[in-house]
Amino acid sequence: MTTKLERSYARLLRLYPAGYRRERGDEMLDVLLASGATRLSLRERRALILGAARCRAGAADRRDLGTTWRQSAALAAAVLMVYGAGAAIKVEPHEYVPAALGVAGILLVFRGWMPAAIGCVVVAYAFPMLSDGRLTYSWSFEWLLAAVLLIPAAMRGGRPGWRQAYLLLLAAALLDPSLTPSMLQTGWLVLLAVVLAWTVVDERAAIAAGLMLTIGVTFQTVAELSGIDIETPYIIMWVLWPAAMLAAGALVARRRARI
Amino acid sequence: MTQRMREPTYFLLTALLDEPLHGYAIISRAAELSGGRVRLATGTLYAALDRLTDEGLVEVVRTEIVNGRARRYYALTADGSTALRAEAETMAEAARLVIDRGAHLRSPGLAGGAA
Repeated sequence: MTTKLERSYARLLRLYPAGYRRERGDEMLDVLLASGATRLSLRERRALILGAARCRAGAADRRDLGTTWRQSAALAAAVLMVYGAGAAIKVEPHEYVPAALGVAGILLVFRGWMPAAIGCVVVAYAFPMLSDGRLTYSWSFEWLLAAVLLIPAAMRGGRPGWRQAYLLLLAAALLDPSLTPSMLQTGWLVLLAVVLAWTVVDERAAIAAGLMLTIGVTFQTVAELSGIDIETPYIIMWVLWPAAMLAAGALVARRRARI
Repeated sequence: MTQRMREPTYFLLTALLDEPLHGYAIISRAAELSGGRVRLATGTLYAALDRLTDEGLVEVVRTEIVNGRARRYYALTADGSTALRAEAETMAEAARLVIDRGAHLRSPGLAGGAA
């Protein structure tokens, strides 16, 4: 006879991917029932929810520190390519070629063909200048930062899995006007808080977000060098947020790298 | 000194030193060996077992069907034994630094006593 407790356990186990459940579900249910508990404890509930979330996010495997950082950097590069492609389409006149190169670059990153992806982003950066003969630099530094972030993965491997593709949504932090970076912008703060909280599931989200947000520092530096005054709060924001993300991600990555 | 192994992993592997065990027996044995300090939740146990199996430190040695459900027994592999021993030796060396020196010291209450 199926008890209420058994049904509660079975419901929680349904959070795991079907394949994992087929392999482990019965066995886990057996262990949960063997404890003789009369009700579902918060500790068991939390561990099952977290375990299921990690399985679904493709974050359950142990990775050494280097792999975590290289994958995160490649993910950050892919996010910057989404931003670059989106920005290229938003401008007038629309720049379809860089946008298409950005999309191609993203696919190449997830296929693990990093040198080709680097080629795409470098051409995407240079194309507007080459096509209209401008002899100045472009402000689309996201392409260049993406190229730099892909170098470690190109040299030592670090292809992110397709299951981490949901992190491309991070580009909304830079593209969506309702999330315009600001010290007090609620949407922006909520998004970053969610990413920080998601570190308990997959630390690569925080590291990728931190690396992606260094685009702000890049813009500030170039602006300063160009003689454009930037307000101090903005400079602090663009330094503090990436630093917080990277610190949180690094701490968790270090712990998870242990057996 | 960097400890490479998390405490739950250490006690999980130690639980398998004597004989292969199934999931619930691993939880019980790890809790017993750690004096109740390590209480593995089921979700945590299976995440660890998956990781350790992938690392080649633990393997499934047999499966029984109990109450219509699969019950797998896990055992340490040779690599698992080596990793566990290495971790234990590292911890023992670190402990010796204090314990050996402690033999020559008085208790803190007496160390600064009247001269």
